Amino acid sequence: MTVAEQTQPVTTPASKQKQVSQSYWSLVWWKFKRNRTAVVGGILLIAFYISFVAIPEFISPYALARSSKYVEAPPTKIRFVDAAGQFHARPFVYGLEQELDFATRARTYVEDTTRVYPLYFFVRGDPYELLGLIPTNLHLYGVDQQSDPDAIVLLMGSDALGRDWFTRIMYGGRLSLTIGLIGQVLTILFGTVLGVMSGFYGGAVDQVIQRTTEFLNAFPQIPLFMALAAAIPTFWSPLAVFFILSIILSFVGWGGLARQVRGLILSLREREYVLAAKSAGASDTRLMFRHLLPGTMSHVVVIATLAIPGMILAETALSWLGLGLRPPLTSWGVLLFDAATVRAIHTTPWELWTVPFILVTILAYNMLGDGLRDALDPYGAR
Amino acid sequence: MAAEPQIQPAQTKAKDDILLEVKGLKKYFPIQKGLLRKTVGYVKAVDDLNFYVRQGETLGLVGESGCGKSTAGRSIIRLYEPTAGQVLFNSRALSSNGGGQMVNLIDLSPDQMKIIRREISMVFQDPINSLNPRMTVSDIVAEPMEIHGLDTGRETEEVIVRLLERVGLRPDHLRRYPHEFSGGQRQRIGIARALALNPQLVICDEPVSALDVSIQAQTLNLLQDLQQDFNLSYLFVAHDLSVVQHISDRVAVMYVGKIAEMASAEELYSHPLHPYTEALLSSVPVADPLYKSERIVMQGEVADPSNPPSGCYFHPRCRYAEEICKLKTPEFRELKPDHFVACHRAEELQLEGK
Amino acid sequence: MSETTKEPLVEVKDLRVEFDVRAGIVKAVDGLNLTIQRGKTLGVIGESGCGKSMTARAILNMIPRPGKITNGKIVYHRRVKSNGHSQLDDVVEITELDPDGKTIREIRGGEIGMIFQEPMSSLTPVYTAGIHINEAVSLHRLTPVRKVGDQIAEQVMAHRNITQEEAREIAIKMLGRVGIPKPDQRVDSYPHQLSGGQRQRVMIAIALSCEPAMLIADEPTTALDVSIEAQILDIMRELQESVNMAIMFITHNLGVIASMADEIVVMYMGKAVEQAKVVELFKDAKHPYTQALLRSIPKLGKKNKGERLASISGMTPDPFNLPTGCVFHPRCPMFMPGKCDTIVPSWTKVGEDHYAACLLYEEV
Repeated sequence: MTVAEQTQPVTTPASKQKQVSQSYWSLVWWKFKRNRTAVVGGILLIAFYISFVAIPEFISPYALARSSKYVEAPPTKIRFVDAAGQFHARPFVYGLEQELDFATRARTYVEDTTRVYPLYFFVRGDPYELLGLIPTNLHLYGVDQQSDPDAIVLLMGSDALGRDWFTRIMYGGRLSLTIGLIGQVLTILFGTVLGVMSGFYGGAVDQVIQRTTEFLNAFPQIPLFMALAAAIPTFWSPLAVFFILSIILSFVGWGGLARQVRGLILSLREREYVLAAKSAGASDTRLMFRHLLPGTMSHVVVIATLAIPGMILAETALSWLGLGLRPPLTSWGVLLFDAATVRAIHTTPWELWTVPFILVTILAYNMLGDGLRDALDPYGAR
Repeated sequence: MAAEPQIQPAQTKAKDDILLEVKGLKKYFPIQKGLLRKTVGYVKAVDDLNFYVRQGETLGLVGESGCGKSTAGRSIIRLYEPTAGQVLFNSRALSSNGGGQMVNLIDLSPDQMKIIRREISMVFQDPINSLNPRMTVSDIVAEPMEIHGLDTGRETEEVIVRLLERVGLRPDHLRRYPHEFSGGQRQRIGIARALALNPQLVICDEPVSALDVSIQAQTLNLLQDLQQDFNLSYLFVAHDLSVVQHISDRVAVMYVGKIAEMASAEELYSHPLHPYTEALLSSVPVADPLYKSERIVMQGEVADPSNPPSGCYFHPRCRYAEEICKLKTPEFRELKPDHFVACHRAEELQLEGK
Repeated sequence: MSETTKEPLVEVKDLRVEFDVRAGIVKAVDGLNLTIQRGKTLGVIGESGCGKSMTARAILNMIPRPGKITNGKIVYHRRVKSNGHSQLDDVVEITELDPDGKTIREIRGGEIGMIFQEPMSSLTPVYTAGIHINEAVSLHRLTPVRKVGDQIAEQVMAHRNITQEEAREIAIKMLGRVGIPKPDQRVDSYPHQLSGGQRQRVMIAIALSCEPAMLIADEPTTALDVSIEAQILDIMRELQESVNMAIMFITHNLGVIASMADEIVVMYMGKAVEQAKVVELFKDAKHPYTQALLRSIPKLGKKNKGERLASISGMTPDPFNLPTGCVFHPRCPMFMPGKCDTIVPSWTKVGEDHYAACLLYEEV
């Protein structure tokens, strides 16, 4: 007699029966909600995906390609108190004056306290199409550029072309976050289908699939990535590079997933409900995709969630090495590539702002993945 | 197995009332060892099995764990492909004239076998494992109809509701998931699923051994009622001799892949002809504190089906064993009308029943 | 079954074990009283979830979390052996002991042994072979590698000061006594080399190696075939007679209990519903639940074709939503409206050494 047995609802007389039937996934959701860390991770990721992937044009104050005359400017200070010591409810920034030291050729910026630009929410700026549909020029925050084109706010400084670094991080997140997701979707597709087939049919099919995954796993990963990425022709369009890179990323990942799915299938295959369906005349496809695959989905979801950060990091690493995405595409890896020289760290340290974004994303994925792993076994109350 | 579109008529002229006849059925599982997975031997789970089930009756298939009784049940409907033998079944669905026609299930093509699966269904032992946890009760019971293209929406729902009510569940259980039910209720869902296609024969694989005593009684009663209402035949596989006696018309006792003895329940339990049956009967604990059992202690353990003893597999544990038992495999023969036994000394022995 | 000597060994008084889980509180054992007499067998029967295993665990103070003993006492009358005579030493209240303390560890295994349903998972699995038993004994603290003989020897050594040679000898002797052929060879086998029946024999040998005053057997034969079950039950009876040991025999199998027990307690939803001497219980059960249980098992022997079993209607109630009054009333064929659903029956004497908790036998 275990506690788990007792906690399972036993049917009570109809009069008392007010209990809503719960599907597996609703039980998972119930348990997931109670894990605060996982919920925080999930909310962070949703926020990231909305702001970086869906609407970075709105969140960022400028268009990606827009360069200004303020080259390698440090983050603009946002002020509430002016030079005269007076407090303002609306934050403002001062105008910038560039000074070039001709001896060292170093640029310095000083604030021109005579020019005051108040910060506004929902300002008009560079035009774009929201979600690729609605033409607008509204931005989440900014300074009024239309009345004074010299007005600028650079939350995280600017780069060597005078582009707003914060804007670049936003747009870079779009590619970095989607490449992990697309790569993982491909991984799941290859991994589960091949894993299910491998476990279900066994024999020769199993041998071929397993030997292939071993072959792939035997390659050292980073050199393999590098070789594959280096093989991408330079004349390909950035978009083609993006897709081919996500395929490359999933190429190595599916083997491990296929193995785990195969193991699960081997144990599920002997369950009596599978035999029951088989004895009723169910086809192989039905057995595989109706009875076996759903049983592995919970594990697949966890494995996938925990593997996405790896994909994001792999993209970052490849791009940082100059082998992945290349300008004019902007991804976090490309941004890191820009910031990776000693000179850049010395003169434009704000370009390292990319790192915390990557860290928080990875952390959020891991928090979510751990929570999912705990939640996906709602019957195991032990 | 090559597709054989033509249905082979059975060699023997079928007795009118025989529904299922198993002849020389064998299922060997290969034992593979080493890197190259070389077959080094076989587990003879089912080894030359012979029995038959009549129309509308219950045949109990009883034996100790590992004797191959579950494998036998599963080999009959080719959940495991049998190694050899014949499984003759009086099929209505495959016959040309609408009556019955004996077909050998082993020779059927996959498409023909699928039709047979409407006529033979299965009830499984484990009430937890035998229902897909991700499917609702209604999905589970409807699945056989869906597989056979008989799912007609609204009507199917009505059929399911009637089936569920028949097995003692309420219509509001339809949208629930298996984990919300107790063991007995889950077994009822499994029974409803087995009846969904209106089968002739139901193979019950230890259907009550995982249930509590009071639930076991309910389930046995339900199976008996359903048998009458739907004119079902059962092949009832179990290890509990009292349960088997209760529900069966005839009983076959299995030992290490072979049938040791087969007779009507009453005959077998009162006048066993095989020493194994006798010893097994004497081991059953009796719910009567005053009953003084004269227990026959069987030496040792059940023989290993991958390395069975010579001659009669039971001889190392048999208290009547003689020289011939070690040398020769006894023939399974009809000693009395409808009483079959595989023992060299069956004629001379006077064995005790219950 | 001599009636002469009656000396309580373990007394369970108003025991309550509760599990505080997310959906509420489950009363696994709810106000249970029972007494195990020295040298006798007390059978405990009931369906799954009735609290019989929890009672056994409570006696050894081994309730798994989140369970707790919330009420009641378990009194153990301890005896010490000196000069071949055993005398009453002291009275131990098991419920008061620290569950990890020295006293309870002495009692567990040493004075109260336990065997479980599943013999495979009760023995430590094994990784290597061919180590001589003495070497292994000295190694066992470092590695989980144990042979059968070691497990017994370890048990002996944990409770007595005995040399390894002596321990091995005892191990061989015990294996012989539980009917394992060639015990001097088998003492060196690993659990996986033994069959299910032999493993259960080894479990019994381990439990009996310290000559406990009481053995708790929780469904010891449920996982075994009838022929093996019969052998194991024979061994348990023989050993009990030779060492004068009490047995608490927990099972759901009425056939097994009939041949083993002197006295039987029937449990339902954490409560004892009836207690009687074995013959009396099978001949003249008073509680409707016991009566129904006895009728619901198919009996070997002559029967009429198509005969139906008397079954208990309905299902065991939701432990979070127990019925009011007598917990059995929704399933009871003798249900008395207005009484059974409002009044909780009390433990009533219905015959000599025969008690039942049923309002049929109570003046209310």
